[in-house]
Amino acid sequence: MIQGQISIDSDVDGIIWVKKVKNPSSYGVVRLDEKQNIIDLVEKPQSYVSDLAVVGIYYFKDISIIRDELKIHLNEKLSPGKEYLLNYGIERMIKNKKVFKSQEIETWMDCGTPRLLIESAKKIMNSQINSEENKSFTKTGNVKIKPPVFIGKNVKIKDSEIGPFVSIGDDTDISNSNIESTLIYNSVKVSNADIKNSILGAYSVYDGSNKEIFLGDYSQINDNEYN
Amino acid sequence: MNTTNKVYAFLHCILLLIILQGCSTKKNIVSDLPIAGIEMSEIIKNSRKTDFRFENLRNRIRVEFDNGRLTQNIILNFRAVEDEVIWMSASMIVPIAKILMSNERFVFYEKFQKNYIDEELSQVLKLLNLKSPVNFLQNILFGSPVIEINKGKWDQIQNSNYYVLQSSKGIQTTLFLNPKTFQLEQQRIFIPLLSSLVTFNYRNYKNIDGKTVPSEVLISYMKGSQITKINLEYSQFDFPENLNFPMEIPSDYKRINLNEIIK
Repeated sequence: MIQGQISIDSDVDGIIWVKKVKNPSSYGVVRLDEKQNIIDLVEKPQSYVSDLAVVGIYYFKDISIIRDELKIHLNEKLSPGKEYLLNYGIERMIKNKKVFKSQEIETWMDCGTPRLLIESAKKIMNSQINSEENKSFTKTGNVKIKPPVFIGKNVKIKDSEIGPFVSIGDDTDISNSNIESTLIYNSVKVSNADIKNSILGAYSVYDGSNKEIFLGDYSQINDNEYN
Repeated sequence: MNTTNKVYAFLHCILLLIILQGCSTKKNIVSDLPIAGIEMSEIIKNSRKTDFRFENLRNRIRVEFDNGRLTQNIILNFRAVEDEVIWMSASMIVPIAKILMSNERFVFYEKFQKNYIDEELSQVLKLLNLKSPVNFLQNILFGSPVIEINKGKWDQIQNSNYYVLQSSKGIQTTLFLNPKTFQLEQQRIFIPLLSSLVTFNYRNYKNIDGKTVPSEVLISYMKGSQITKINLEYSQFDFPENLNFPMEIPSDYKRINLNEIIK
């Protein structure tokens, strides 16, 4: 997930959006020359070459050039463990004197693991939730909302404490639960739960106890029946 | 269920597929019910015609794991080069795990506990008396007998609905063949490692590019008093010219071994 200004310089052949990172050895980075042109793309550099990590957004002025370069790459048979990389085509274009510039974005949130997804959502909730939007849900009994919390449409909450950092999708029912730092997708049913740092996929059902849980879409778990 | 148990459940599911070892037919003997006195060689000959062959295969598999307490859905992106490599990437909202398996090596990582496995398979293969784990897994997934039917030693068991063959040597397997199509409808395998009989039911065979494959596989096994069911639903079969099998273990992951999971 990214946030920032994007402007296209039509004088260059390509643009690669980047973000300064503290641990470049975990990323693909761009190396620049004195004119700030990209001269190299280095995947997970073991020694320092640059701290500008590629965030995965590219501009190509003439898409047919990169397409043709990649066709060569795609005809190669790779050994297991290896993968076809866009970098291959870009590096060939740079070798052929095409000009690539980098452009830095403001915010880059990695959502590649369940924990990172929760952390990224927390950052967004911290900055962008308008608590007035959360007043339309159906409340029954003793319900306490601790912001920041996002609540979708047609949500029913009964005898529960929600928040901080909880996102609840549309058409979700929650009862007798304490929920913190959790992403709940649409049409989920949660009851008797005391959860944090969890993700409940769309149409999932959780009737559980004290847990960190991760349920995919249409999944179900009933802890209480077995306790 | 805590994260460890969730991951265990997932691993168990995947592992089961891995440690275990197609389908269209031109009918020579057509009957809705088994023909009495049919020669075993006729059954074998017709069954072999149903073998699912491919060069490269790509598929998307919806996996539903159900142990009575937990029902978990996972999407698997599946790629394979026949008899050589199998690669799977599992997602539950976000990608959570990857597997790369050749006949010599098994690589796996998962993002919950940040664990990985990178192991030679020679010991496990010896333990399971397997030559090609890739072929074994392919057979299980796409409705072929785990023992090559023309090479195995079989006893025929009378059954009013199927041709039933039971292995008399090697992996303990029972095959239930459709008398009309000779497609494998069910195979049962005894897994000593799990002390369990695992049943594979193959459903809804479909013709895809002239190849017939089941579109659903229901796996069930019992451990103690607990029954576990795993349903695999295939979609988007395709046979691309080129495939790649990306597998890069993130640097901060902890190495574990296969034995730890089997325990």
